[in-house]
Amino acid sequence: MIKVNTDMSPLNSSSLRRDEEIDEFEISVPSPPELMKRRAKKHVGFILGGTVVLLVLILAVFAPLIAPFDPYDQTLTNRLLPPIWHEKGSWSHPFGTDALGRDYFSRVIFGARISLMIGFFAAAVSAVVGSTLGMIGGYFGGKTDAVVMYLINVKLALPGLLVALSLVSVFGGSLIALICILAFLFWDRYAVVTRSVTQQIRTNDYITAAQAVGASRLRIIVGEVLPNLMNQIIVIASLEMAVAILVEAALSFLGLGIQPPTPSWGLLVSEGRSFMFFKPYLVTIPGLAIFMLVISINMMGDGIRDITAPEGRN
Amino acid sequence: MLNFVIHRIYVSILVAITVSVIGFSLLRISGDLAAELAGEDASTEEIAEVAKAYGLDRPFHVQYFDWAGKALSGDLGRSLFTNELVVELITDRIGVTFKLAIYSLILGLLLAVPLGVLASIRPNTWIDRMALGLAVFGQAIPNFWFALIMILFFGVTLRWLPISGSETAWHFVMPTFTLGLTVMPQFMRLTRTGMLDVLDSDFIRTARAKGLNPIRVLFKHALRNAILPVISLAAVVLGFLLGGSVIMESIFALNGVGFLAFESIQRQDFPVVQSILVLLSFIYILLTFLSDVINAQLDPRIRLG
Repeated sequence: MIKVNTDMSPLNSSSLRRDEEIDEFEISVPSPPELMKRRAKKHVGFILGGTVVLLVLILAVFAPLIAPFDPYDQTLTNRLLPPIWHEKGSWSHPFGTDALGRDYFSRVIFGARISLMIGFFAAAVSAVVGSTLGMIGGYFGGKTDAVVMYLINVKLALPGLLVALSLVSVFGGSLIALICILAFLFWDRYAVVTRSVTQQIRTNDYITAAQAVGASRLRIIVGEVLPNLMNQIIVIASLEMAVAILVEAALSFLGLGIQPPTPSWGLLVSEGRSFMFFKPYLVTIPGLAIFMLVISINMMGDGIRDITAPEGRN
Repeated sequence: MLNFVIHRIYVSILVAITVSVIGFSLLRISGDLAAELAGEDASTEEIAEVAKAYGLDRPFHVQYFDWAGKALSGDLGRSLFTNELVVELITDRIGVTFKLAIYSLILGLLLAVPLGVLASIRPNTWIDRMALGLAVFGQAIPNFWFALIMILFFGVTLRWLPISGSETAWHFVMPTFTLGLTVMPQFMRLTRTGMLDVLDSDFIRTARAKGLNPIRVLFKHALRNAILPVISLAAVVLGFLLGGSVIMESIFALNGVGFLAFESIQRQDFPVVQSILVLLSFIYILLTFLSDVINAQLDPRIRLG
């Protein structure tokens, strides 16, 4: 709420004082955050996607409390038990068990941790790398910009998936290695977008003003340019997080990602593949989990874009 | 125009050289390749012998220039695993990868462009929502999983389609469909936004006001303008498909270069890996170069801007 005084000129204030009841009234002008909140409440995709992502996040964080069994605990007498919707299924193992007698429900829940962690950190690291490069190129222009463009071109020319596979074969499939490798795959889109937006805002008056008062270039980039890019960076990050989760699953599926016995959804699909014809649930469940999480993150990302910049919808 | 082309050639060559250095060094950063090749319990002398035999004892840049020089004259060395000529290995298999990439690209475009056009002439109707829904679906589905589900359904339950091999056109149906669905969303979105922009412009209003046939306006005036970015994206996507078909090739046992690269990465067969990486990068560079030049030819704003 903003208080607006209708009395614009101090000269005739005396004349208005007579009817003081209507002298001042309040009109409500929603602030930008208020507007965003309103748009968010009406955005079905954002609410739906956000809810699912939140649920998966809760599952992942509280996995040790929620999962009924230890996901690594093998009980060889309980191998390949059917899931609950099968006529022989039982509630003790709602998703059945895998070929080593491990509770599949627990493994799927713990798999959410891997997907979310890799997706989030890969998107975050690539956001830092890509946006830094993009802002530097866009702000300084000239030779610096040419170097940034050259780096982007080199990155685009490399067949990403094959480079990632080679790097995993060299550095191994640890969580940190995978995050760094995936971050390397995804920094270019941040760089392209932040670079062009920085080029647009570089000539704005407030940048010139900051330069005039002698602000350092670092301070201008971090303090003046970056806040204007945050919305775009967040939107790209949410979409790249979804892609990172898909690529991690694909790498793990090919055997050059997360290594067994860690439960990653991609790895679960790959382990279930040899039993696919007789026990299709071993493949369908983790696949559906990936699909649901990725589609929800995408819906949330599209939602954030619509909410923060409704003019750029389409 | 000439300046634009010269500049693009200069950048392309620079990028190509860099990519070849990266491709060359990728598997070598793993540590001592000679020790790896000599086997687990090789003595120091044996390792040194292997290093000498493969020229790995020389400085890195000498090895690179030696390899690059030979590569330029068409000699990519031999596979460490099968001892076949790398050139022959690749030429034997690149056809399958190209076929799969081109089929998938065409399918993606055939699905995406009409859907995008339909969605743009009826925005916010059920057609538009369905098109966007399909795009969201295609973007979110893990394609390796989708391929397995198709194998289960069309290959095993219905027995309509073969599930592995690359002998007949039928073998390409499932992998093409999977990859086509993966690349469709970006084309669809780009066609839709492009068409929405163009349909909103003055010259379309003029064309309609003069009473031109609406279908003619749609295809001759609007689509022609909206399709340009789609074509340049197609070049990029073709490059991506050539390198990204590894998963489909390994699932459907298609014997293409993607699968060859995957196998070679697993057994550290670096002459094969570096050749494929560099070859695919070069194809990508060439494709984007051509699409840039074509675009600049068609759109003066690009070449003068």
